[in-house]
Amino acid sequence: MSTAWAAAARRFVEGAPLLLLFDPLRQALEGRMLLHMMVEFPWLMVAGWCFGTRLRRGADAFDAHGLLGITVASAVAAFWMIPAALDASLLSTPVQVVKLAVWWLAGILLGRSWPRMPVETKVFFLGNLAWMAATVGLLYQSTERRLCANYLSDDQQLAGGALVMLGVLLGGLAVVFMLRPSKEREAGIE
Amino acid sequence: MGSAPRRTSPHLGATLAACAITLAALLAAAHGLTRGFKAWTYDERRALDLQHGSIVARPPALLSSRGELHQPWSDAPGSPRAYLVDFVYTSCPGVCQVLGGEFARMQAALQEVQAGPSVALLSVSFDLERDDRAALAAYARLHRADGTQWIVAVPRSPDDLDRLLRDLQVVVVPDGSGGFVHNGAIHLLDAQGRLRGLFAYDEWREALAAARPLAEPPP
Repeated sequence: MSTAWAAAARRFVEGAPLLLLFDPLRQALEGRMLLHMMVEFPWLMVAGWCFGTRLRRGADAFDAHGLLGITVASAVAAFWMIPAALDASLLSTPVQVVKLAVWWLAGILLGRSWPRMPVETKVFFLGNLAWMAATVGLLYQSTERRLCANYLSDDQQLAGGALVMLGVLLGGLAVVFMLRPSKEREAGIE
Repeated sequence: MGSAPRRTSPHLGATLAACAITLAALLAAAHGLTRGFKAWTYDERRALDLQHGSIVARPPALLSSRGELHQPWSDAPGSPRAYLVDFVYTSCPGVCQVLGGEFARMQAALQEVQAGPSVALLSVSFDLERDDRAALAAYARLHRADGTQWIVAVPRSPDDLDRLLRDLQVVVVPDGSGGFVHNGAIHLLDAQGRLRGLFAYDEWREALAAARPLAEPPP
């Protein structure tokens, strides 16, 4: 019974990005900077991750030690922290489509990479993402002017605070991985 | 049910090549987006586009506070050669009213020195729902817009508004309490609708000074 529930939940998570084709929902999410960055992006990545682990074949031949997965995920995260990128996605349909696609694809790659990643790579990835999120979050919080033409200052402050918290969370996660290296090595390295 | 992912033996060389391509794609995308890593926000990109003279507004169809159809920056003889444009909504209690005051000062300054409207002032409302002719007329009366030197108008249709805002890269967002916030303040446009300058609310004197050379007749 629990397996059936887990499978149903998994299918829901995988299919959930299709809900973003429903304009009112997507506009509600993207109408707030906080939701845009902290709900829509992770949502797409988690959906891609779940989908990717079910695929029979991915880009595995190009993904020794999970390096391609972390490179793509880090690149996507870095690009979409640029304020001009957020605005561009809201003002241009092609950019919007690319944004949705790359977050989802990054999730697919990362989901497939994760099991083959050595713990050191995981710690590097999480640590890198942590400082990036925290730095951008602090910048969003400390800048008085609006960095995005589509968002208000208070929304920018909220998104900045959430990014700092995400950075702390990811940093904590990196420490957790660091403290149990042997278990990860057994499970992760081929 | 899903099956376990099939493992293909990965090659380090191919992996490094794929990572290099990914990083190159990131750099190329960021380079294009930020105009060579010089503009990280929408407004900074807009400022660079302004410097390059690449922001051009197609002439919008406007309805003035007098109920007349008005098309600025047209080729018609006697048309103004420079326009100072701002975006307003007449129910705005704060900065729009201040800007209305600045435009009144600019109107007075222009009326002192020029016989015809070589430099025109144009206040465009983006609140199509509330800013009907009566609301525009009340706004024009409040700020003493004379309807010739300074025209208060609203785009004829949502498409006209959308096109004008897009052309000038103006983004209007609801402020959550019934009002709006938008980027940009005073826009200086030439007779072809090309954006030639952007000025803050308190830089109206500089805006006027920049508009005057554009309004001078060609030698």
